[in-house]
Amino acid sequence: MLGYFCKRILLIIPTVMAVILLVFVLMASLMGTDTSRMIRYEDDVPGQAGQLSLLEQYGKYCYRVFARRDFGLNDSYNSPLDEDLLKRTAVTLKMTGIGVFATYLIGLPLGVFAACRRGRWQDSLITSLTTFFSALPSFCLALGLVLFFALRLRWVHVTLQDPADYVIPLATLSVIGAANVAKVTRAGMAEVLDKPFVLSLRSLGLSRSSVIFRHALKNALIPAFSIFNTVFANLICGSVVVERFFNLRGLGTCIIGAVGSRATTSLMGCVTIVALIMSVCGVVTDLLFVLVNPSLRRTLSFGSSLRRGDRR
Amino acid sequence: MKRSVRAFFHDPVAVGALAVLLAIILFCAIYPFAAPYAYWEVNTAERHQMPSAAHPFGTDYMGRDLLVRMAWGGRVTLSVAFLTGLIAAAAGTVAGIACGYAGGLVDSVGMRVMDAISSVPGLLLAIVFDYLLGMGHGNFLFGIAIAGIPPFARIVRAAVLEIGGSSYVAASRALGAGPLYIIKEHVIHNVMPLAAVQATTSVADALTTCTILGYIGVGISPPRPEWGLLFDMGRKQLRSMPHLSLIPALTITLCIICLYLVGNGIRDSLSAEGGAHGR
Repeated sequence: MLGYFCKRILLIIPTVMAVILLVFVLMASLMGTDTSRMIRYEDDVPGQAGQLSLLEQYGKYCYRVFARRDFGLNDSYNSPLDEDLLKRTAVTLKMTGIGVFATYLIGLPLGVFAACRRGRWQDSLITSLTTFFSALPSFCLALGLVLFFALRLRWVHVTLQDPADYVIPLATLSVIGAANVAKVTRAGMAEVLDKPFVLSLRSLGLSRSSVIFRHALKNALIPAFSIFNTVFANLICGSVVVERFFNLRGLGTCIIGAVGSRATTSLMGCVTIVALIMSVCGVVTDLLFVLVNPSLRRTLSFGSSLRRGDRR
Repeated sequence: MKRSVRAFFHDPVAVGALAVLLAIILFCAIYPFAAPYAYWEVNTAERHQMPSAAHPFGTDYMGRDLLVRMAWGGRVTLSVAFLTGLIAAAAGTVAGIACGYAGGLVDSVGMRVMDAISSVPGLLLAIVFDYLLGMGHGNFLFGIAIAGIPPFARIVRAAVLEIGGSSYVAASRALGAGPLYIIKEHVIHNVMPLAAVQATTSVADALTTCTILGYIGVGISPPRPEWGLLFDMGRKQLRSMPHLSLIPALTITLCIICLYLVGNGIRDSLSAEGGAHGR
């Protein structure tokens, strides 16, 4: 079990390197023709750019990133990229980190509540709300929240002056994910509540709340945590939109800016960091999965994917 | 099959959603020919108009009619969404059948690749593809399509494994049926309904990604209207003219919700037939 997670953690860097390799392969079509769109470094000698082969450039990039934390030069300012990139990563991680907590904090209780009130009006209300919000694109939600809370009610500023104003971007991020979590939790809880052991526990005289919270809930958490990876990937996508909508300086606006100004080095830096975040997230998903499903601890062996069997 | 089609048309929500969706598609297809304006037609005398009889959705900062721009934008957005969604459906179904039927090394390598694709945020995939393969040539379509493949492959693979273990396939094999015959006659017939449900989700996801790309200014370039792009242009006049961004936002939301409702309708009508594997 411990060995499994050590290996998973050690595998993070090779995974990220594989992602970088894919990007470099895709970049091959650009490399031959356009040297202005290559990765740039502080110690580049003018005129020698484009002399390295694609594979050499890949090796150089990986070495610099992992051994020296050097992401290359910022294309528009000619200054090292790493400090700016780390600042932006902190902004994005803060948003998505709080976002993922809020997502589960809203989604789990809603899903459990809906499953316990199955077939009644509370259930149909929550089910239709979750369908609506999981279908809503994040920028439409952001627009609605801003129009209502900032421009009509004037509770918060659109320009994010006070800490309290960050409620709107955070709500934009987490409501859509919460709808998905609630949907999955409701389905999982409803399935567990139909199992015979719930009925037998009730007939043994245990109270309804004790059965739900001490026995059924643990099983219902499994599907909710198995989608942690997807939830986080959606949060990263959502943060691209939210950062642009509210003019935050995070990774998302860096990606948009890099594409707009043809800044390959910045874009590569962002892609590397997102790949790193997502592979850490994969390990966290497995960890959460084992936490809520202890029976897996014995079967864990290296090379087996935990989640695959449960996906359909 | 017939029974589930009938069940689908007895579901008022699903039929209503399908009707709304078809109405939007038809409107986008026909209105540009009937419209009194072109989508690029600038009329500085009629800038910043609120909705009126001449301009039902108002005009933007260059006096362009929003209704006709919405119709043209819908053509772009909806064709991107349906095209990439259906490409993802086809590729994912083929990949799922291949993995599920071949098993062994093909299966484990294939599903690993699917795991890798689905761990990259779909939006980022589209941005990177568009940037690296050359912008302005519609290369973001590859990104959207590829991001849509893994869920299909997983669903189809699971179904294939289930069907492959069933006794009638064993019987068919005992009677001398080759793998291609079994795939054609048994596997595809059983997988199609499941794939149809997933296809609505996949088109909805492609629609979301496409509009987000338009909104952040990647993909379709400005002279052409696209719903996400129209939303972004309207956002600059959020205080004075909220309808410029509200109309695109509501249209996008309506389309996506209708797609989900149609998908739910198909799923319900399949379970009305008794299991997803009815033929």
